[in-house]
Amino acid sequence: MTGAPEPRPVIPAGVGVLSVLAVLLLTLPLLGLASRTPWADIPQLLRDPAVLQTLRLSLVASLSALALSTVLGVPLAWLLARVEFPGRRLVRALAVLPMVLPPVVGGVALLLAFGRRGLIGQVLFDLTGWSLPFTTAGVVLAETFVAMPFLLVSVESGLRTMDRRYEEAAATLGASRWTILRTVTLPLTAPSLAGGMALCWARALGEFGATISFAGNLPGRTQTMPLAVYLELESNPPAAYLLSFVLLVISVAVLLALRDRYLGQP
Amino acid sequence: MTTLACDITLHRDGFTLRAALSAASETVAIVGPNGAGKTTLLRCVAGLARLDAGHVTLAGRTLDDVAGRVHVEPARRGLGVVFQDYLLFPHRSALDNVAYGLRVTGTRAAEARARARAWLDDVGLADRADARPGQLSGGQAQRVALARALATEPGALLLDEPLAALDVESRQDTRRRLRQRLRSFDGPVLLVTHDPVEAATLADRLVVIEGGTITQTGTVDEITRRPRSAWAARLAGVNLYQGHARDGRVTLAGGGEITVAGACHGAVFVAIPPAAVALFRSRPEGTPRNVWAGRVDGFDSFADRVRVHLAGAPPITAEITPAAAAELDLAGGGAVHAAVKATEVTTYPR
Repeated sequence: MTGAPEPRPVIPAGVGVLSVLAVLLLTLPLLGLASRTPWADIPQLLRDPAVLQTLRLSLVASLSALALSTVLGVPLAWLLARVEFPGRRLVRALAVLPMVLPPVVGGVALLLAFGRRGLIGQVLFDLTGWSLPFTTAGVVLAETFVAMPFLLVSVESGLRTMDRRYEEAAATLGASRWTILRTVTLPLTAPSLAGGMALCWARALGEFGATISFAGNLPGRTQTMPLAVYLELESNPPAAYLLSFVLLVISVAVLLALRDRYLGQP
Repeated sequence: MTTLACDITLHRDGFTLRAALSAASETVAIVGPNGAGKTTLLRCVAGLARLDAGHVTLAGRTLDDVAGRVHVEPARRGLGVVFQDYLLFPHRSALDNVAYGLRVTGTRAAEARARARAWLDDVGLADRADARPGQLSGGQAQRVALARALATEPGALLLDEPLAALDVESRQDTRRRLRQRLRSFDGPVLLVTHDPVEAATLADRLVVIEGGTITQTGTVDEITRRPRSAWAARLAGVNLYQGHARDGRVTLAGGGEITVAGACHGAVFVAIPPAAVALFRSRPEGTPRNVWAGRVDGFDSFADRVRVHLAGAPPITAEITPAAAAELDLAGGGAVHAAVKATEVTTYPR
């Protein structure tokens, strides 16, 4: 607004030093990883069937978790944002609890609910002879449990901050509720949905604790990339470095996709 | 003839709106101060706010009837609404905004776009069809919003402060275009505005709402000639008082007494034009006029006149020449005397 440039703020000495330390703490590990990644082995490692299997499983499971989170999370976010109902605050608190819950605890809880002797799992097993733990479906469930809240929070806040009068304008033009949702509400909240989906997917892809305690670590069935990294660190460190680097690249890609949200400040 | 009629009662957070009005094929301006309930009234008619009692009908069709448990959804009322800041869908082009109402009610894409194009042409914006709302000027956005509302061929048109979001330059041009467009619209138009000029130039009839109730209805001429509320008095630019008349003297409700020329009795309004008020430093002698002492409470200077606000019984606004103001030494404040001829005072029954 004003023509004159803002005066440069004077940086207190302590703030500068601590900020530099913080940046080093956050970036040095990444530099370390990049420096030790065995670039020359990349072609060979990417042909390794075991690595490919893990990669494929990770993508399938995380994308399935993303799909499940979207299908279940968007309607719940809408309900939480738009409908007053008794216990709404409680439902919201419970729905985002996995964000702050240690993932291992989440895995144990999933086991106690969906395990063969679990609350629902036992009934399921008695009826069908099938149980979730130690299956790829179990991985998807664990990842959804941990990742869906990220999507939920983002979409709900998008719905809350949206100007609802656009929906009223659509209504006066003859649009039904469903048409309004499809042609006005979702397009106007698309940035929040996209952001929530990216965060949700990244969280699902990186999920470790809940997965290993609920679904175990079976190559080809439940062993995702983070689990493989952890194991390879013992037996074959270069492979662990490489897989880690792949995950880092994906994370950077997600961050770039979200740059308007998190890197938008000048 | 299409008639829009409503009788609305609505309670919200300690505020009560109680208003009944009807409009034939004419433009009725709903005017009044901010917070009077104008927009709420419009939202009730549009079906966006639910009445607590009363009814809304359009061309004999019941849109709301609280007693009869009828509430027609906004989407099925057949009303065109232009919102205060237009609310053009930001992710659609001007053309797709105008076509929206047709598309969602089942018109095929090609035909909807062709008709939308004709409506854009009608408001003089055929060349802006592909522009996003963010690329339109305020006046253009207003015209697109109007075209969008008209494209559904509504039975009545509701406009909420259609010019308030515009700057002074585009307001005049947009008002002229809107006036022409409303002339050719065949149906009732309700126009909410707080701007007297807008009301006077666009509407056939005014409905004044203050504090949730209708205080006066009539043409601009009728209202300015005999204002019956603070808002209408401001529109007319007169000092307005309520009082009780007996034998040519009116005892004012807020204190003070005024001698009037005509015969009147009972509860009356008293209107005094500011230009009819003379101000003196010392009490003028020997004139058969209303004279009372007051204190200068403030003044507004214009190019060729000064409006002086006087605290007293009654308080009054006087309009005097800058020369007279200089003589009075207004900036010094202090006591002055106001004088008004009995023949300059208008009274009419309450």
